[in-house]
Amino acid sequence: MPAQPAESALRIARRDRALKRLENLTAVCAGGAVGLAAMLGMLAAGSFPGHQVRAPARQAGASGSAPPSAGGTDNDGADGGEAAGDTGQGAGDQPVPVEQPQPPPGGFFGFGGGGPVAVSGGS
Amino acid sequence: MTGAAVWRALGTQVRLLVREPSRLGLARRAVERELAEIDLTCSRFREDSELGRLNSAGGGEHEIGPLLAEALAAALRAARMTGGAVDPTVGGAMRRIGYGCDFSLVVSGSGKFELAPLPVPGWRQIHLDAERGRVRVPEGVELDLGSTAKALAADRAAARARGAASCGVLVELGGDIAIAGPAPEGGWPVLVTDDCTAPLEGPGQVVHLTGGGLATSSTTVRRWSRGGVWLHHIVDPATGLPATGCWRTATVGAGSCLDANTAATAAMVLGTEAPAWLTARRLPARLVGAGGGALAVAGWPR
Repeated sequence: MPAQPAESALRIARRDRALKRLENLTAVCAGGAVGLAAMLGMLAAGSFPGHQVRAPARQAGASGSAPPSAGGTDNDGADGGEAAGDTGQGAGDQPVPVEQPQPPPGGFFGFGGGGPVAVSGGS
Repeated sequence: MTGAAVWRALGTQVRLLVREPSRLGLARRAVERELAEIDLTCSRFREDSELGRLNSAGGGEHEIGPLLAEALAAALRAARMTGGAVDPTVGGAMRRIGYGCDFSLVVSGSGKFELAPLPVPGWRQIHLDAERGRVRVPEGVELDLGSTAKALAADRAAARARGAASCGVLVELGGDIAIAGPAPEGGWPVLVTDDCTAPLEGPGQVVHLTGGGLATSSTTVRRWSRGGVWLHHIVDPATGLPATGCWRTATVGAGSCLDANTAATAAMVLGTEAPAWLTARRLPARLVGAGGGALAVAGWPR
């Protein structure tokens, strides 16, 4: 037996409300997904090698002769202010390399004979 | 067979050795040019030198030439490497203790002489932009590139002579030795002693060097007295007075004459800390105590 008009209108109204709730739920899910993706993207960007963060330039009395900053994952050292990434090994985290006198080359002392031809002494 | 020449420059003795005697003249001219340039640039005792003009300018920021920039950079690097034991701002202290002119003009005196400690201004006060050729020096700070400029000169002269003569060379400049090019079989035999003016057959230890640099710092030379107190030219930057470490002479080998000189001077200032400091840096050294006993450090031959 065909449904009465009043009963049909009620069913239509229920269907419309359900569709509306579904629409709202879809929008909330989509927004959440976008937010989650953005958050994961930011975490990934900070975790992969190649990302650069700005570190303070090394202080030195002789700015023109200061050594280059420590090497890192994508460090071209172009401006002295860019340092390695935040992988836990960035320049900001590493001990600053200390300049040292260079030791002599291997085999510095020979085993020749003969009398001296030069003198090293105080002057 | 080698060729040799000995003459005086920069207020000290120069000795040049070349493996090809026929090229000695070429090498000597190259060394003479280099030392003349260094003297005209870095001498503290010449009013017309670039350093002399900088010191008399009364502080401020100044434009400097590439050679002075290199010498200043070397001196500041030496200061950084030694924690300030070698410091280019000792010029005022040198003047205060009586070494304000060429050493041949320094005279001993018996008058009253105060020796109060006064730390030097410190190398961190000097701001150098070597690439732009500019340096900023505070008012009242007098620079003395002293030993680092001499060692730098030896390195540069050896490289220049090697280039001119196309053979192995050794340059000895006031006891600081720089080697460039191939050494003779078994190495260049070098007498290590207190005084660079000692005769080749004099007392000391003979070592054979195949490259790099060797430098000696000693309180037994360049001495004078004031008011009954003996003074020397190695100033401790912490006190502004002649260093009172336990070594009378320190000889160090390194990759260059400049680094050897820096380490030798630092050893004199560091005193008892010097053996550990040198060993940690793999710098072979011979340290002679006041009584004459020698200590071999970091692979120095016994």
